[in-house]
Amino acid sequence: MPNQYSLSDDHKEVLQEFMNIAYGSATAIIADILDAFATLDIPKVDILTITQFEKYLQDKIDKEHEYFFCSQGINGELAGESIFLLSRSSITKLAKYFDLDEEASDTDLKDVALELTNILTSSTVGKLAEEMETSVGFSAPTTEIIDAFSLNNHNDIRQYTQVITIQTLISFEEEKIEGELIILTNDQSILWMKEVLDTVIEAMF
Amino acid sequence: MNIDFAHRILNALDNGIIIIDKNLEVLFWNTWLELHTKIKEADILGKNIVDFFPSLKTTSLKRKIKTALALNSPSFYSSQTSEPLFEIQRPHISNTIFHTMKQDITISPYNIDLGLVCINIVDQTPLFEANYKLSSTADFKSDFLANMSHEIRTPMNAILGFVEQLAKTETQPSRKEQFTIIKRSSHSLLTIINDILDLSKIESGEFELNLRTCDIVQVFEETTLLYKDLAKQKNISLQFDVQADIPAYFILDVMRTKQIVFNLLSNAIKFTPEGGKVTLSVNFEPLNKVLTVEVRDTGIGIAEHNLTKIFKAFKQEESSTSEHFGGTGLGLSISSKLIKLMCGEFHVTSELSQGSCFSFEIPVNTSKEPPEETSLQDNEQETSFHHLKALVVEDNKTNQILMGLILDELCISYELANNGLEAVEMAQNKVYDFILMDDNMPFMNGRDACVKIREYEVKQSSKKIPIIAVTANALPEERKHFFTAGMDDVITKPYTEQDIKNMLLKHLH
Repeated sequence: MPNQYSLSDDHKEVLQEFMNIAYGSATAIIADILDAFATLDIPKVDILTITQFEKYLQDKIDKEHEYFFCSQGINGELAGESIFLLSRSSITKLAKYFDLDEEASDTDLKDVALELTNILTSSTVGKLAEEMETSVGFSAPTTEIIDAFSLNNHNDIRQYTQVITIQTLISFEEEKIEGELIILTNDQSILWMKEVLDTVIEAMF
Repeated sequence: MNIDFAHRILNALDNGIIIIDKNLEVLFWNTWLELHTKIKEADILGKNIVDFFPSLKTTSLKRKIKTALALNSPSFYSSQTSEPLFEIQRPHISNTIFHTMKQDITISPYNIDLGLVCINIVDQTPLFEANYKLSSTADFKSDFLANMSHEIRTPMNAILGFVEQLAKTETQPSRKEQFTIIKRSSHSLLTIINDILDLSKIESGEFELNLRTCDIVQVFEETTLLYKDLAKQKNISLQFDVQADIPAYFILDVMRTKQIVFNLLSNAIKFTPEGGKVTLSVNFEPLNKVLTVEVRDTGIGIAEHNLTKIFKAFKQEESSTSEHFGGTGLGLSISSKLIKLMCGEFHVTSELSQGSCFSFEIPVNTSKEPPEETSLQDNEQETSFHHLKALVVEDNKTNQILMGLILDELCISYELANNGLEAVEMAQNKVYDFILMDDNMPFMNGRDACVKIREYEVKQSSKKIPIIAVTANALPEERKHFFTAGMDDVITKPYTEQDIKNMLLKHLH
């Protein structure tokens, strides 16, 4: 049953279009900073309850592997956080783009994860905000190494009741490096976004 | 704003501020830095910052500056993982952040053609000192709770154990009832201690779920059965409805799921008047793998303005509620926190004088395999222990007597050791079928004694004797230490004769 936070298909389509623009800008910035060609999949926009979202994360995590779970706060009318999830093997392969070898320590790998989170969040969300005619600020990103078990103890995301998730996969050059970027928005922002999207939809017709 | 005024502000800050250009040349160096690095602004202006701080990783620093300029947004140098950028003589320097200004902004007297970068060095020493004080307080609280739990469980073991033994031989009905009251009151006290420990663990983030496969119908049937008598006494109809096609086996934290349902059923029966109805329903939604458990009653209900209050620790709907119905008000608070830990959601609807409905939804996985364990207590095995010889290691005289009484009842012969040191000596000189070992004892504790006994067994290539910890150290992380020391199992005080019997069945038959 639709509620005040649900998104119509039109909302999702417009948001998806904004994200396509934002992600195009992000790949250009990554190429400039890291001298590497990255591709971002077409973003998938959805609205989930926090229980559904936690279930989604649990399904993403392979029980056999460790992951770098990064998050960065987004402040402004478009408020929430971005989550960047990368497997240990992917982050190890990414290290070379950050002048590190494959024997890099966990501390160095965390730095890579943090830097990439900052680049991706600032470029995509910054551009999305620009498209939506607002401005955003970012807090310092944080990261921790998690596995399927410790994900259960990750309490921070439970501050949300429902979230708009904008998911994409990032791949680097020919290498099999895959990370998932998810942008979560809080209740107030969902309502704000809907207003902006409504205005855009009205202007289109 | 003119540049002198901006400089005065930057110099007045209690942070270090550096402004550099994209070639890492220093354009501004504030007073805080002069004070803490002993490097004067005049000496560093126009110089490459790496010349003064050779530990700076030039490539990384340049990339971060490039990122900041490309994004026109801060590029964070995280204190979470990295060493501080600058070796400044303060214990906790962190969160060095680059702020950038766009390349088309020029501020006299800087002739910047490609942007400038402001580095903010935050001195977090006072914050760390405050955190240290806070963590010391948290450690104290945690130690206090562990000690309190141990100190209360030890005498409680004697009270419950002796009451159990005395009640067995008592024939006078009024005295039998008195024993039952002592037993019930002691168990209530233990529940309160366990609740406080749980709450403290959850709040400190140290709580871990213990997921295992279980028979879902059995879990909820067992829970409902425990309240059957109480419901009957109050003439309350207690019903258990389970979805007909629910899968047989689920993976969940059985103990904690039962704890939540215990609490909901206990409240429902407590607040439902005679002749009322309490229903426990269990349903599973296979698509999203969500288990829904609902406890519905026809009780006194909760006023709408009090619905959020009841989830707070030590709170009941009204202060008069605890006077009428008893309880600490911890149960719902713990239940809601446990549900949150299980990534679930807790719901309540209620209407005054009509009743309440508490329900929770948790994401769960099903299993095709049945659970491995079977409850020994349920097996009515008539087993004789009369041939067995035990070593009881216990320093507390009262607990020595109690364990002696239980072992006598089970026709097990035993010898006593007063501490770990005596136990090691006795285990090396005599043959026992099993050892019941306390932990907190003078001269040598139970874990150290166990390590010594295991070493001796290896040296002598002798048979490994079952060693069972009998302890008032009830916290999960404490239990791990017993297994690490080489013990086979743990009995937590207060224990019953049945607990001892179950353990012997598990390890000796």
